[in-house]
Amino acid sequence: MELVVEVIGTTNNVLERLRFAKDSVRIGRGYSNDVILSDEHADVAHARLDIDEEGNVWLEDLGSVNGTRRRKGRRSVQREQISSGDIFLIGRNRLRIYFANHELPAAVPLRPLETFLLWLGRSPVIATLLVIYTLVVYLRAVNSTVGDFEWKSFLGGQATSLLSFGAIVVGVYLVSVLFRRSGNFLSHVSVLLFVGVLSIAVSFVLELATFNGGDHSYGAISGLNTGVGYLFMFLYMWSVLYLAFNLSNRARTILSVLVVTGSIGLETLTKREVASLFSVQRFPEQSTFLPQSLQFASPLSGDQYDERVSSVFDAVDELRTERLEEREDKLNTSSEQVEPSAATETLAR
Amino acid sequence: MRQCLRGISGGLHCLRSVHPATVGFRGSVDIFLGAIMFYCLNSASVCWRGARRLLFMLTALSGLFCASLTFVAHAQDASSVFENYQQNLFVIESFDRISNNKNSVGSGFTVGDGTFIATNYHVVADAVMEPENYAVRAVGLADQAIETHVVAADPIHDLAVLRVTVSEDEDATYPESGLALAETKPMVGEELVALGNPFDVGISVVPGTYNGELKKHFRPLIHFTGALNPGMSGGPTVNMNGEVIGINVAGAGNSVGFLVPVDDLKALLETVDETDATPGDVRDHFAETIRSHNNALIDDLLAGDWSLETFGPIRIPKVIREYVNCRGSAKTEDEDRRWTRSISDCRVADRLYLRDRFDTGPLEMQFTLLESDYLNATQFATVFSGENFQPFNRGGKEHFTEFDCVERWTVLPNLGEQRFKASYCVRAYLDFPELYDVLYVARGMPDGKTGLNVHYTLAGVGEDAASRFHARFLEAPEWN
Repeated sequence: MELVVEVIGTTNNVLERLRFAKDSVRIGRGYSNDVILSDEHADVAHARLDIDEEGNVWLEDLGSVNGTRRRKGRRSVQREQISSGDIFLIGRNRLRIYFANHELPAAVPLRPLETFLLWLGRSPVIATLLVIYTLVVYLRAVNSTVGDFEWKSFLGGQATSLLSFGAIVVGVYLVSVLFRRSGNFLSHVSVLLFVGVLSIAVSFVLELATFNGGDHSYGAISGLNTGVGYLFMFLYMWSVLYLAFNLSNRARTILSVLVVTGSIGLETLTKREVASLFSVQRFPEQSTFLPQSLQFASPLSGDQYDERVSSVFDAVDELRTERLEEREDKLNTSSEQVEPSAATETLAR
Repeated sequence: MRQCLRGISGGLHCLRSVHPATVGFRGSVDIFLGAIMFYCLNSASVCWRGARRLLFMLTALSGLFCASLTFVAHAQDASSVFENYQQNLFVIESFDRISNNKNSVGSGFTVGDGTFIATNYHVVADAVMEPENYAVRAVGLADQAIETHVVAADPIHDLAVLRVTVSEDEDATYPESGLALAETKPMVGEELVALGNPFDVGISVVPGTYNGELKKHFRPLIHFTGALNPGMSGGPTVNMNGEVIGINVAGAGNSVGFLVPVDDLKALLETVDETDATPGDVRDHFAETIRSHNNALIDDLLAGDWSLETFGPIRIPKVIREYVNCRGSAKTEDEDRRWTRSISDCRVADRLYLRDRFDTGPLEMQFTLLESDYLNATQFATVFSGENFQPFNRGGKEHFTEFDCVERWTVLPNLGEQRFKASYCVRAYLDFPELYDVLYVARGMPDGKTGLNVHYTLAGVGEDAASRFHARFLEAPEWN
C-alpha cells in the first residue's frame, strides 16, 4: 500500500507532497529520514509510520522532546492507528497523511466569474485593458483641456490615481509572494485595471444623468453613484480573495461583505452631512455643463417649472425653523456652562 | 482696538456701497487717520482721552481755519453755527456690556425736547439687534457720557432715535431743546454745514454745498458736496439758520457726501410714542419694513420701462428705471483669444445695512454671453461650466439658511425651443421671518459656440414680490 505525506505550512499551504511505496516511513530532522523536516522543534528521529499485515496504518512517536499531537489534542501520540486524511502536529509543521485509495471528490467546474477572472489574467487582455484605460483618461484630458495640453500638468492631475494604483499593485504582489500564489499576480493587476475602466464608464453615464436630470433625480443618482462604488469595492475584494487565498466561496463573500459594510460605516461616521446631501440641493455655482450633443433632457414648460419654484419657499422656511432651534439649543447649552463656573467662582471667594 | 476699527469700518462700508470707483483715494486718507487712531487706542486710555480732547480742539480749530479759508464770505456763519449748536452734538458710542469697550463710533444730535438724539441706524445696529449684549452712550462736549436707549430704528433710511435715560447724576446737563428740523428744501448751491465726529477725532465742522437729490438711487438721498468721513455718520448737516437739512450717512471721497433727507427723520420721530417702547419685536418689525420697502421697489420696477436692447443674439431689458445702474463689458477676451465674454450687469445701488458684514439690498440682473470659434464642444463646455454665480449681498451662516434650489431643464417664454438648465435658489433670513434672498440662473447653449446665462438676484424680498418679478423678468429676453 502506498502513502502520501503532505507537509502543510502555517497558513494551510502545502509545502511538500511526498509519495511512498513502502511499509515504513520515518519522519524527523535527520537526513536518514524519509520525510526530512526543517524545524528546530522536531527531533532528529521524531516519528514513524507503519503498515501492518492487515493493512492498518500506525503512527508511532519515537520519544520526541515535543511529542506528536493530533490537531485537536494536547496529549502526545504514543502508537496509534490512523485513517486517511488525519493531520498531526510535529514541531511547527503539520503533516497530513493520505492513503493511496483515499477518495477525492470530482473536479468542481469553474464558475463564469472565476473563468472570467482567469481570462482577465492573460497578458493580451491585460495589455488591452491598460491601453484602453490610458487612452480613455488621456483623451478625456486632451479633449477638455482649454489651451495647450501639457504632459506635466496632466500627470500631476493623475498623480493621486497613479499612486494609489501603484500602491495596490505592490500590495497585491506582496500578498501573492506571502501566499505563494504568484502565478496569479498579473490577474490582480488585470482585475484592478478592469474595475478602473468600468468605473470610468459608469461615472460618465452618471455624470450624463446628473446633467440631463433635474434636482428631483439628484438624490437617486447620487445614491446610485455611491452604490456602484461599493459594488466595485465588493467585486475587487472578492476577486482578490479568490486569486490570493484558499477560501471557500462562502467565506470569500462574507469577508467581502464585511469589508464593504465596514467602509460604509466609516464613511457615514466621518461624513455626517451625507444625509443632508439628499435634502438640500447644491448651489448652481458648482454645476458642470456638458456639450450640446449630450443634452437629452426634455424641458419642463415655464408653468411647470414655476409650480416647483413655490415649493422652495416652504422648504427654506422649514430649514429656518431647524436652524433657529439649533441656535436656541446652542445658546441654552452655553448659558448652562456659564452658570456653574460663576457659582464656583463665588464659592472660591 | 479691533472693535473700534470695526465700528469705523461700518462707516466705510456705507461709503463703499455708494461709489466703488473712489476706493483708492479714500483708502489713503483712511490709513493716515487710522494710524493716529491705532496709536491712541493702543497706548492707554489716558492717552486716548487726552489726545481726543487735544485732537478735538485741533480739528475744531483747523475746521474753523479751513472754513475761513474756503468760504470767506460765510466764515462768520459757519463758525457761529458751530458755536450756537455745539451743545446739541454728541459722539455716539455703541459698546458691549461686558467689557465696556466701544465697538462702533458715530455722531448724533438732539431733536425734539432735547432728550431725543437722532443718529444713523448703522452706528447703533448692534444695540438694536442685541440689546442684551450692547448698549449706546452719548458723549457730549464736556466728555460726559450719557446713558441712552434706542426708541426707534429704521434700516431703510439708516436712521435711529435714542432717548436719554434720565439719571440721578446732578451734574448731567442736557440741552433745553433739540435742533430745529428744516421745513423747506434748500436751493441747489446753498451753503450747508455738516457736523460730526470724523474718525473719532472729535466734533468737527465741515462746510459744503447742497447739490439736490440723487437720481440714481431709489430712496431719496441728498448729494452734499463736502468731505464726509467715517465717524460723522449720524451727525446733522444744517443750513445757515441752524435747521437740519439731512443726516450724514456716507461719503465717497473727493468731497462727495450723502445725506438722509430730514423728512425721513420726521417720519421716524412720529412713530416714537410716549412709552419709549420699540415697536413690537424689532426683528419682526424690520422684516416687515424691509419687505414692504422692497415690495414697493419691485412694483415700481415692474411699472418701469422694459424696452429691450440688443445683447449678442438676444435682446434684453437694461435701465428699467432711472435708479437702475447698468454697466457692461462687451467681448472681453481671455489671454489667448480663445473665447470672448460679454456682460450686462444692472443693479439698484440701494444697499441696506443690517449688521457688520451683513446687508441686504434690492436686486441685480445679469446677462452673460460666452462665445468662441476656437474651442471644441467639450472645451467650450468646460469654460462655460466655470462661470459662477454669487449672491451680491453680504452675510454669513449666522444670518441665513443655506440655499435650497429647484434645478430643472426648462424653456423661457420668449426664447422659443431653446433649452435652459434653470436653477431657482432661495435662502431665508434667520432673524427676519418671511424675508428671502432669491437667486435665479438659466444657462443654455444655443449652439456649440455660444453660451448664455440669464441671471438675477433679489435680496430681502417676500415670496409674492419675488414671484411677480420672476414672471416679468423671464418674459423679457427675446431673440434678436
